[in-house]
Parts: sequence; C-alpha cells; structure tokens
Amino acid sequence: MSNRLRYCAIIAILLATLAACTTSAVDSEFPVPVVDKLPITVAVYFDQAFSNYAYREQSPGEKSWVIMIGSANVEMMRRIFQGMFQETVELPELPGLKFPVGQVDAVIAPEVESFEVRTPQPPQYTPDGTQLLRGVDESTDRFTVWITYRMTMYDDQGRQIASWPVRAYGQTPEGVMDMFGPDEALARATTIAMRDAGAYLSIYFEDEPRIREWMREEGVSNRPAPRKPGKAIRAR
Amino acid sequence: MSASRIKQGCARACAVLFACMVSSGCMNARIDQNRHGMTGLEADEAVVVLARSLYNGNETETKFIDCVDKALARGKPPLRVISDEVFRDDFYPWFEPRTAPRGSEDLPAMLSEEALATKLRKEKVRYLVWIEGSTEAHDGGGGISCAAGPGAAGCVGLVWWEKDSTYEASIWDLENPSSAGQVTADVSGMSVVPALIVPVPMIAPTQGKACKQLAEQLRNFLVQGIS
Repeated sequence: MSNRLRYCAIIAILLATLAACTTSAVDSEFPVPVVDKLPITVAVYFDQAFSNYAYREQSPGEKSWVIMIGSANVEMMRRIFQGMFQETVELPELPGLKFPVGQVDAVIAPEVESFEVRTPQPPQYTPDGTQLLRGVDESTDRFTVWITYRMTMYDDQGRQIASWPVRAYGQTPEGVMDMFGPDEALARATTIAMRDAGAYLSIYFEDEPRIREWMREEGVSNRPAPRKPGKAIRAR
Repeated sequence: MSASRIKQGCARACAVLFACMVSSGCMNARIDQNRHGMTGLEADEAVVVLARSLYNGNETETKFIDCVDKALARGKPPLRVISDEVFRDDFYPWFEPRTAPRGSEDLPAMLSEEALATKLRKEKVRYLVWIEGSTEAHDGGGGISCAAGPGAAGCVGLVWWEKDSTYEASIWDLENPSSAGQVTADVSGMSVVPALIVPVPMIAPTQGKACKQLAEQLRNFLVQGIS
C-alpha cells in the first residue's frame, strides 16, 4: 500500500470513530440552595474518581456516548454544601489515618455509585401498523438519566457517621431534542438529574436517621421533626 | 369539456375553499374560574407562572408558559412576572420536580423554612400560578395528491384535523398560604389545508387564543379580585 493510501485509510478510520462517538459536556452552573444553614463546619473531599467521572455508553452497532460529569459533580457539590452549612473547606485528600481533622465538625466524601442512561428509542410497530407499547414509560423520544451518589460522612475523629445513597432522575425537557440535537438533549437530562440530587440532598439531609442522631448528640439540629420525603424516583 | 362545466367545477371548488376558510377561522373557547378567596395585587408584587412537573405526566409546552408570562407583563395593567426558569434557580431547591409542593396544603410547611420565606418576602412574590394542560391534535381526514410534469406541477385535495388546547391555572396566594382558585381555558378549532395547485395551510391558532384568554382572565382574577 502506498503512503498516500495509508494516510487516507487512517483519516477514514479516525473520521468514522469520531462520527460514531459523541461526547457531552454537562453544564457546571448550579444555584446555591436557599435553605436554613446548619451551624456546622464541614470538610469535603472529592476523590479523583469523582472529579474526573466520565460515563461511556456503547451498544453493539449503535452510536456510543461519552458524558463528562466530573467538573460538574464538583461544582454542584460545592454549591450545595455552601448553601447547607455555615462553613465548608475542601480537603486535598481523605485524612485516613490523619484524623482528627482540626476545626471541622464532620467530613463528607461524595462518590458516584452508578450512572445509567436510556437513549431515545424509535417506536416499534406490529405488522398491522399498531404501535407496540413499552410498558412503564412510553415517552421514548427523550434521554433519561439515573444517577446514584453515595455520600459518606465521618465525624472529626474519622468515625463513620453515615453512608447513604442519593438517587436522582432526569429527563430531556420538551423541545430540546428537536431544537438542539441529541448531544445537548443528553447533557440537559444529566444536568436535571444532578439538580435533582442536589435538591434532595439539601432538603432531606437531616432526615437521614444516623445524621439526625449525630446532630442531636452534637446539639446542632435545627428542625423539630423530619420532613416528608418527596416523590419517589420514577420506576424504570 | 364545455366552458359551463369548467365554470361549475371552479364554483364548487371555491365554495369548498370558502367553507374551509370560514370553519378554520371559527374556534370555540370556554373560560371558567373557581374562586376560593379574595385576591389583590400591589404594583411591586410579583407573580410566577410555573409548568406543573413533567414527572406527573404533564406536558405543558414551554412556549405556552412564555406566552402567558408575556401577556401578563404587557397587558393593562402590566404585572411584575418572574419567569419560570429564573424563579426555579433563585428559589432552588424548592420548586424542582421532586421537591415542589404538590398542593396548596403543603405551603405552610414549606414556608416554615426561614431562608425561603425571607427570600420570598424580599422578592415580593405574591402568587404562584401552576399551569397544567397542553394542545393536542385529534384525528382528521381528507387527502392531497400532488403531481409534476414537464413545465407544470400542482396539488389537489383537502386535509383537516381538530385541535384542542386545554389548560388549567391553579393560583396559590403566598401572603395567606392557600389556594386562591383556578382558571381554565379550553379552546378548540378546525385546521384545514386546501390545495388547488398550491396547498394553503389554515391552522387554527387554538394555543395562542387559549394563552391570551387565560392570561386576561388571570389578570382580572389577581388584580381586580373579580372576573
């Protein structure tokens, strides 16, 4: 094969790879929650897996998707904790054996436990033209994203106070797919799921039984009774 | 073909076209309201129009919410309107799909959150208006055939369908945390596309009419306390 042919083949393969793989970057701007601040100082640790998190979806014979949510993860948690606690500081590494951590009441380390995407599916028809229904959710022209964050909280001595999941759900809003295309549609569904996680965390943080107990022991609880949890995450 | 037959054919086509134009311009509108309490709005107080969550099966179009916002902000008297998106960001996380109050009975508990209540007072947000509903096209009929040849092309036929725009606005008063009432708008109309050489779409603007009428009724409901 001549050099020219070889270059052409390499360029063709690169173009085919790029065409088959889409990378979505998620919006990193999140609002600070308007909630009553808890009178505690919290240290937050974002590990590499959390701050560089990328999800890859690849089905045989279909376009593959890459969603980069690492920096959005960090930015979202910063804003949420900024609204929730009197003061927050970031730790460069989880103290591990270096506890106690000075000047803080607790340490929180968030992780992404799972990330799932359902891509839009075209409707299927029977031979007589009847549309096949897909069971729980018939709206298949949108992306749907489920994220589960795991929050682990330690006291200032390094003892685990609680470890609990925060499950979130997001769906592409009406019109976004047609107006901006699939990349933006996926990014918007992911942003909505992240906002959902932040909303749940900031409102229902104190309702986590172990945290509630710890706060009572520390004498920092603000609220007389737990809030009622919101709507359950939509079933898949 | 004789000249009289051609004339007859043209007259028939014109009659059909005229009937179509008349029927497409004809829309049925029904506005209703249900008042639970006294209302009123100071000039500096704000109204927020929000779409009910998609997760509850509601599919209210974003452009309908924008239309109601604009109609309320531009009419007489113009109201101070905070847009859905700005409000959800400014009052995050209380109006997200999972955390938004599901009924006015949830308002007192939500407003017991001091940070939220203080900000609502500071921004002078007086009413929340939750919109549910959508515009749907129903089965129609007819057909259009098109053909093209050397030097000429054209279509002949007629298609039609019914459109129905149904919306309900639930008004919550934040000063006296409770439901102030509901306003509903139901507008239906026939859309037609007659084709005599060129198809001429005549779409019944049911959504636009529902928006205008709902906004006008809302304004009366909120400002004058009567409607």
